[in-house]
Amino acid sequence: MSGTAPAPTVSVSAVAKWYGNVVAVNDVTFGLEPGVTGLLGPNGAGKSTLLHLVAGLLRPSAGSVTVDGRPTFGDPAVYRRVGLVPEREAIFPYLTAREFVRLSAQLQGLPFGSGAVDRALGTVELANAADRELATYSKGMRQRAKVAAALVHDPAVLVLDEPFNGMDPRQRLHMMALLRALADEGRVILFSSHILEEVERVAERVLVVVAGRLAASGDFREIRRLMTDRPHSFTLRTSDDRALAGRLVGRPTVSGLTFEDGRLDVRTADFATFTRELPVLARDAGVSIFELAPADESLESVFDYLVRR
Amino acid sequence: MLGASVLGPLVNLTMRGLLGRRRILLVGLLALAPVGVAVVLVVGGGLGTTAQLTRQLYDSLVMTTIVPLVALVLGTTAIGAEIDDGTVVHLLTKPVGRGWIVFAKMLVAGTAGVALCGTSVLVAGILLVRLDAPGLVLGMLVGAVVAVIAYTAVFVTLSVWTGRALIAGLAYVLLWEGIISSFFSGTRLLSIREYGLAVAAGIAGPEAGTLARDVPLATGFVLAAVVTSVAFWLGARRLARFEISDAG
Repeated sequence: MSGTAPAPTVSVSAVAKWYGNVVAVNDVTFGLEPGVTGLLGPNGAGKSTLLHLVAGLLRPSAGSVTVDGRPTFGDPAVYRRVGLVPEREAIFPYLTAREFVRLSAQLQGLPFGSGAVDRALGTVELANAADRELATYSKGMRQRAKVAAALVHDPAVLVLDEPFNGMDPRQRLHMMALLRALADEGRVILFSSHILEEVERVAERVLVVVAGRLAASGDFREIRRLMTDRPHSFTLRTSDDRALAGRLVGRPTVSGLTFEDGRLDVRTADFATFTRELPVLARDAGVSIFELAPADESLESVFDYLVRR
Repeated sequence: MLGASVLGPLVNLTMRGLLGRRRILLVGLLALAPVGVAVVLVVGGGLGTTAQLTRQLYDSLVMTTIVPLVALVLGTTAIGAEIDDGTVVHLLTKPVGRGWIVFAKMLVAGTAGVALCGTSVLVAGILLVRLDAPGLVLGMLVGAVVAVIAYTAVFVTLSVWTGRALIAGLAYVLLWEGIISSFFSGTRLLSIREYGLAVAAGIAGPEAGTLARDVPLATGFVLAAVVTSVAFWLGARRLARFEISDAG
């Protein structure tokens, strides 16, 4: 990307999208700057709807979505600055990857022979397979072909819907490195994922969407801390639940305790201190711990917590 | 926004998408049905009333069934298939005027329809009347071409407006043109088939016989052109406001 090109501004302001009585996205506001932003949320949270709104494929029911001050919906010219990698695998099966990326270049008005097609194919490591029909491609390869097609015109804003789906671990790492490199060139990268670790590895900022609402946004480490510091529940199976409970109940880190069906459920508001104290308390009480399992570690429970805050 | 320069790539893509589908073979066979019928008639004899037989074949088979169905499949496949399978997103995320996309789809579907139906009418016509009634053959050819262009334009637009374009198109051809128009002569002014027949009869002149229509030749041409233009305008307008969403 040219170093002199102005940094893109992406603004989502009080946006809502509903289909009849179903609200897909509700009152969401955020801005995007150059760098990688991860859009995190459980399946069905409204991530794709939000990405499609940003990419100008959906008309907001309320609010506005703009790129460089221009509404994204109903203005094809916005795609000179925006590239989209959709989640759906749909791709023209009868084209080779080179033809697919060339079509994208032609529809972007790039001059023939500019080298953009080869560059884009090289960037996603498809140069060697570029002359095979897309119908013969694996899911991961199709994903990379879509990325190449979205990158061919050097967009300032790149929107990717679940870009790591179907990729093997090596391809995943390569894609992560690619997104970081593209962001370092001054691009705005927005991608969605329902996998926390993916977002953690590549995004410096995160937007957490739950049930169509923005549950949290900002620096990823801050969100991570919120997620870590939330009240946690653990289930314990020990040689003497009652003896260990006697020790635990006096600790300020423990906020609740129950016996049920031969197991001990413990709630703590201070995850880090509790996990340090527990082995010491068990040893002092002469209790063996057979099993220690988090009771609410699913992403959904993390998201629920963020929404309730 | 980009203009005519994108037409080539769009036409090329549409052609490959259309010709690569198995249903194009069925459409080809359907389009050639009149030639098959003509061969049977010629081989089977009974050539005494050939011109009248040709008119009947044209009126009751070609313009009632073959031309609209060929146009229906081509028109709804040209962009409807891309909307159904989601590949249209790769076209809509480009700085391309939506009118060019619709135009390219109509151009390819219309050209394929003209090639198939035009060839079929020409060959069947010559087989049946040979060079005895050149005006009739020319009239039938131009009438079929005018009708297939208007039909494909309407069906391309229909598939941008609704996911059930095939059913809606069939309802138009079978119910509106097939039944309602035959009972209520006033509705014929809203029938592409009637425009095609008016053009065919107008060009055939005295050879038109039972094909003769109340609608004059020029009116048939103008109405077909109006329908095609309005269909294009509506299709481009709809695609410009088209929304795409994945679940989630």
